Amino acid sequence: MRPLIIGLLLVALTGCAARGGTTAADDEGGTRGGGGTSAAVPKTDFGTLKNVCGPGEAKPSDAQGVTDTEIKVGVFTDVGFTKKPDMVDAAKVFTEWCNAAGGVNGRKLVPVTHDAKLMEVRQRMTEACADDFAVVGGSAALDGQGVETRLKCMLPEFPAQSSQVQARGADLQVMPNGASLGYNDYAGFYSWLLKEKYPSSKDAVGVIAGDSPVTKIMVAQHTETIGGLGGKVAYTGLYPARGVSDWTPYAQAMKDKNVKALMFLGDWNQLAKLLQSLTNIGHKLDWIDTTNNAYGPQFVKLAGAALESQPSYADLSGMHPLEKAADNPATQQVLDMFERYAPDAEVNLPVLRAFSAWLLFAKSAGACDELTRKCVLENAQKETEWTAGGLRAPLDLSDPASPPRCWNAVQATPDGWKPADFGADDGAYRCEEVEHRYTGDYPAPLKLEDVGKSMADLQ
Amino acid sequence: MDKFLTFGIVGLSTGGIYAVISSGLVLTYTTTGIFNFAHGAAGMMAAFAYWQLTGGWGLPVPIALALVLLVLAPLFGLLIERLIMRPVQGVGEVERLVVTIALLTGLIAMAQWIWDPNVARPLSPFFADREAIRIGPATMTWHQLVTLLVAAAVALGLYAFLYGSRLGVGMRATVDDPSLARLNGGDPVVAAKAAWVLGTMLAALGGILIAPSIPLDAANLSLLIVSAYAAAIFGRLRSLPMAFAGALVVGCTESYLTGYLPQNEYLPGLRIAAPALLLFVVLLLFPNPRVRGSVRITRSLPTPTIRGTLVFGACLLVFAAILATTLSDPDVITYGQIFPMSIIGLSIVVLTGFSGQISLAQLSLAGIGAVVWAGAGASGNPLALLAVVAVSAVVGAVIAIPALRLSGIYLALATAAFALILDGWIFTMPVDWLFSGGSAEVTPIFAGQRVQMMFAAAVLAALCLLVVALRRGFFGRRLIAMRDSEAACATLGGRLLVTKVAVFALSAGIAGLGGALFGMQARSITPDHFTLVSGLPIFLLVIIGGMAAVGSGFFTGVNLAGIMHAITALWPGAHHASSLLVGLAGIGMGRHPEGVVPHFRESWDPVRRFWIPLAGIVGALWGLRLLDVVNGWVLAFGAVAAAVALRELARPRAPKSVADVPLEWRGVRRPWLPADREEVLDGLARS
Repeated sequence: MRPLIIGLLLVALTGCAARGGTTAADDEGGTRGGGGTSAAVPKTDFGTLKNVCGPGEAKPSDAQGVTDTEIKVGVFTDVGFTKKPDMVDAAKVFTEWCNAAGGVNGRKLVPVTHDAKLMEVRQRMTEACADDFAVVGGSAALDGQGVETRLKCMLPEFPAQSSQVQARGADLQVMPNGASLGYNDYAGFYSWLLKEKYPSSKDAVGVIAGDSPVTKIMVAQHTETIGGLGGKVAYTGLYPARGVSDWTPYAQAMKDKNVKALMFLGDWNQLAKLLQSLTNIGHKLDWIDTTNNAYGPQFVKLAGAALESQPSYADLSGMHPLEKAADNPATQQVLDMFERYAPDAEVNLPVLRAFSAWLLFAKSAGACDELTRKCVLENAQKETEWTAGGLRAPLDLSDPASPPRCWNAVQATPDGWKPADFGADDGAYRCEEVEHRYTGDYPAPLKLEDVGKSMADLQ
Repeated sequence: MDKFLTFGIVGLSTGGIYAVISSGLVLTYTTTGIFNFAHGAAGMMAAFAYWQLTGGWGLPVPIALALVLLVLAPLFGLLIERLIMRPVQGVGEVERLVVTIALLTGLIAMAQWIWDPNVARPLSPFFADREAIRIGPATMTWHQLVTLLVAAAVALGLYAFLYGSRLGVGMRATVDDPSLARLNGGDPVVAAKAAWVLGTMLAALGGILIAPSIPLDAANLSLLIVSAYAAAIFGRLRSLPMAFAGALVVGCTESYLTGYLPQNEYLPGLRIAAPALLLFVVLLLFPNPRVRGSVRITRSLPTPTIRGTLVFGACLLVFAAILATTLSDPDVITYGQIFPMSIIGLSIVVLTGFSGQISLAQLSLAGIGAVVWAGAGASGNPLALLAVVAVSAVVGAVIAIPALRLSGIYLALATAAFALILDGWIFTMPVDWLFSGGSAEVTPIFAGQRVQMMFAAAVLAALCLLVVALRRGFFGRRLIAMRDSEAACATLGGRLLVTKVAVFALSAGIAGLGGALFGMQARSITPDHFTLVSGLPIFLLVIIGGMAAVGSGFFTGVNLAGIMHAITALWPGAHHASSLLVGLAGIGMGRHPEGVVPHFRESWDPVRRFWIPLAGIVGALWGLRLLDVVNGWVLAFGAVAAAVALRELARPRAPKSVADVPLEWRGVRRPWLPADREEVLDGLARS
């Protein structure tokens, strides 16, 4: 009888929580910019991209996953582990919109969700290999585990984002938001912070990272970049990935070393607490790089008033900020499309990235006479000024090993994120020739030769 | 000097938090003899409840505090005492440990289910609007000051309570000798209740005090208290003032390391591992306890037979063959982990089941095996497995060093500390032969997934045979002797030192082998595969399975890599439920300390008579599956249904008799029979 009591208690508690949950969800509505009313969504165009989706008479294709009426496309996500449905939502909204317009040359897009649940990337990639035409608009934290399988079955990939060194910039992949292989993506951002905005912070940069082999590489890369831009890293700290019981010692160490600026490579939940500790001990930093993982209302809510005294910036690497959606028709269109096809889902940075991937795929596939993997990949690689219909700053996709030219930054304030005064010179972005090419020896992404294949195998 | 002072003050304020938490830990341990691994989890639940009341429902802070500390926490403590802890009072130390670990995982799973981890839950510190206090160059916030004051008040209050009040003295008396306490009018149940209520209140207090300074996350909050464990160990889990001092030492160590450690790629990890290292060192410096003399009454399990193990091994191979021929490619990767997991489980059977030594670091040892294979076996040469076994065995022997002096809960903590040092410092080092870049590539011996899986199954079967042979031989008998009574074993000439080192090395070798095979199946390994936290469910399941039964290794593998995946595949929403289930099963341990596997074997014994029809049905289903007439679920559920049906058929019918009348009512409720005399005498002798 006793286990039953525990079971009942559980039900009672979940009942309460469900109510608590809705209030929290209401607050999140803040992500959506203005223009909540369901505006008319253009039928076939996306921003500046004309006829992305539409009816057509496609030539028959014998590529895997393609029939006369459908294209099966794999979408990777960790939703079973992280409970973050952004990739699934983006796939749903884009494909429903696209299919309503008539699909890609008359073929409907069928998104197949591959939930890697963090650890099962290789299994899901094996499934994708068996059925899908391509992998589009997804991400998985441990995506490096699936690259070998993917290359072996010659499956092209257009990921929304990619995290592991083995995966990012690998063969048969076009990163619709830039791979910048061998370059630091944030060189322009750091250069602005160190040289223009806060020159006094130049020799007093601190780096704090969550403890894992992945972040250790990032620490080395960022330290090198700061050096290359003429600055100096004065303090490096690591915190255990499972968390810290008190951030004060770290804050004190930074005060002690007179650190003026901070790059935080870790969980933004922890960063919010570190900022509060810094404020408590009365140490005010010139700037903090929160990384764009923190870009969202949750970070602002957690960090609260500490953001007033600790200027926190994030580089969106050229993605137009959501707060200013009203100024940018493409961003507004994403919001409108979500309003129409998934009104309860949240629009955030990963969603915009996924949209960039979907648009690139749809455009590249639409331009193919006969739909083949080779054709789609080659079309995508022809984009030298990819703006995703205006969602982002132009980007050269023809070479994964090219530095990003344009960037933009946002600042977190207690009232939310807003564009920073970073000296935009090209619309909402700043385009210039600041780059940092890595000199250190870092692991390289996987190539076709590594699995005994070559581009000639691509059909 | 300025710097030294500053970091000292910062360290003290951190230490205050640890002091509150560790005092609760010490209290429950001294009065109930149970080291509560779920202490932090109770604090976590309190922190979430506090957030729910203040942030979620907008109650004023004082009311919310009173509700959580004076109503919810005591109720929760009573509930735990009544439902979970009281049944385990009489069982062994391992089972008690498992119950609290199960409670820990269960509470984390429950909290993550109830409170969506992706929603930010800001909690403001106490007196957040007041200016921080300046003490020379350092500052202390009001919240930190409150924490320190509360810690001091708690320490003094507890001391006064335990030594000055009747209930407190009764509680201490109960620890020393329950029967003597009872003779003098004490009530152990009341004492235990008081201990759990107070302990949970202190955990809740600690949780609420710590929650504003860290993100509100179920797993983090529950596991942060490793530092508090270290503090509690300073007082040998018994002395409150020492635990208080220990908390300040741990806090200051962490603080000074942050301030003074040189900056390079390897040393910052030292700060992360510091509490675990301290814990390890303090345990090593422990005064040597006398060899325990009391003979523990352990249930004597039937010695496994070679013939039975051969049959078991054959069944394993058939099972693997069915999996290898019927599963799809991705499923082979997923379910192929059953066998390596079983091997890691088997290493716990040898260590904990046979010799009574507790180790929470078995998965970390498996990680070492996997790393060694990734390096030495990069060419796929099976001979490199020897290196894997050798290296893991040596590391295992190193862990045995503290084991020579420690046992029970102290050993569990020492091995947990070892696992934390590995995953906090060693595994994350940017060294090429570790996980540099986030993961290490592993070359399997056999390129084909299915062949590799069969190989893992064969290794498991061979290891089961080896383990049974050892168990039946001289070494096995010595292990059992050591488990039952170290003193008796030593008196009779058994060399404890050699035996302990040998069994640790053996079990580490098995775990390392399991880790290498795990890596081969996964092809790519990350440090996350081998953390202390991922190792806890394995330990739990082995003990649930029955720690002395060889089959519980396989039980662990099937549950962890088989049934759990199958459940989430069938009902994708059941993810939370399945992790909660492990916790619930562990909590149920108190009622069935002998474990599931022996019970399972007993109830399935009759089926042996019907093995031909069973083999026929399973074989037929397998054939149908191979011909693609039925799908995998039909095969799986069909085979299980056939087995259950045959068991029902084969079950010996109990003869219906009136003998069900309880002994004391014989001759009253029904006429006295001549045979009753014997039964009553027998019953009296047993009571």
